[in-house]
Amino acid sequence: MNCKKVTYLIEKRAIAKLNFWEKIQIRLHKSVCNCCRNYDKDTTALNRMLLKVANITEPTKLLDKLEKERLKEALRNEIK
Amino acid sequence: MKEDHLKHIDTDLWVDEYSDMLYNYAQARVSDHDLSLDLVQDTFISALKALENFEGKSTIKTWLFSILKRKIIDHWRKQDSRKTRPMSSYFAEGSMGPHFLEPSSPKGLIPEFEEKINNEELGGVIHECIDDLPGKQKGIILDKLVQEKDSEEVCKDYDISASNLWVIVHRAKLQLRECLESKWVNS
Repeated sequence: MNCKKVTYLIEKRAIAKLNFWEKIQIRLHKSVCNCCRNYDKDTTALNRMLLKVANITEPTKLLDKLEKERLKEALRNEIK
Repeated sequence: MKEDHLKHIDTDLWVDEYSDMLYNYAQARVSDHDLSLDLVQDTFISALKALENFEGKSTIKTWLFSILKRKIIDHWRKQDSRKTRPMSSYFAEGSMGPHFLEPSSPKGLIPEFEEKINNEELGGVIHECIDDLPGKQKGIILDKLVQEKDSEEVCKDYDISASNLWVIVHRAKLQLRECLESKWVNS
C-alpha cells in the first residue's frame, strides 16, 4: 500500500491528465484502502469549496496615507 | 544624470493608482506587511529603471504586476535556495503506507462540512487555512485551485516544472484537508 503516491495521483488528477496505469493505481488502491477512499471524498469536496471562495471577495486592505507618502518619496528620490 | 523622459513621469500617480492592488497581491502571497510594502516599492523602482523598455504592448497595470510577480519569485529563491527535489526523492522520503495520512487519517468528513457551512463562514475558514500554507504554496493554491489559472501559466509565474506543481499541490492539499477537518471537528 502506498498512500502517499495514491493521494498524490488523486491531486494530480484534478489538475492534469492521468495515464491509464495511474488511473488503475488509484482504483485498485482505493478498493482496499479506506483512508484513501475518504481522502478522495474529502479532497473533491475541498476543491469545490476552494472554487466557491473565488467568488467571495477578500477584503482589500488600503495602505494608509503615511505609507503612500513614503512610497512617493522613495520614487521621487529615484528620479532626481 | 537621469534620462530626460523620466521627468515627465508622475510617480505620485502610480502610487495613488496601483499601490493598493499591488500591495494586496503581495500580501496575499507572502503574508508579511513590511515585506509586501518593500516588494511594492521595489516594483515601482524597477519599473522606473526599465521604463524605456516598456513598449505599451500591455497596460501599465499588467506590466507592474508582471514585475511584482518576478520580485516575489526572487524573494522565495533567496529564502529557499534549494531546488524542489526530483519526484523520485519525493516518493522515497517519509512513511508511505497507511501511516502516511496519520495522525489525522481522513474520515470523509469534509463533504458534510461543505454541506453545512454557509458562504460567509466558508470564505473565512478557507482563507485561514490557506494563510497557514508555507512559502510559495499559498500563492500557487490561490492561483491554481481558487482562480483556476492554466497550469502552464502558474508554472511560468512561479518558475517551477509541471511535476513540481503536482508535488506542491499535493503537499498543500494534505495540509488544507487536515486544517479544514480540525476546524470542522472543533466547531
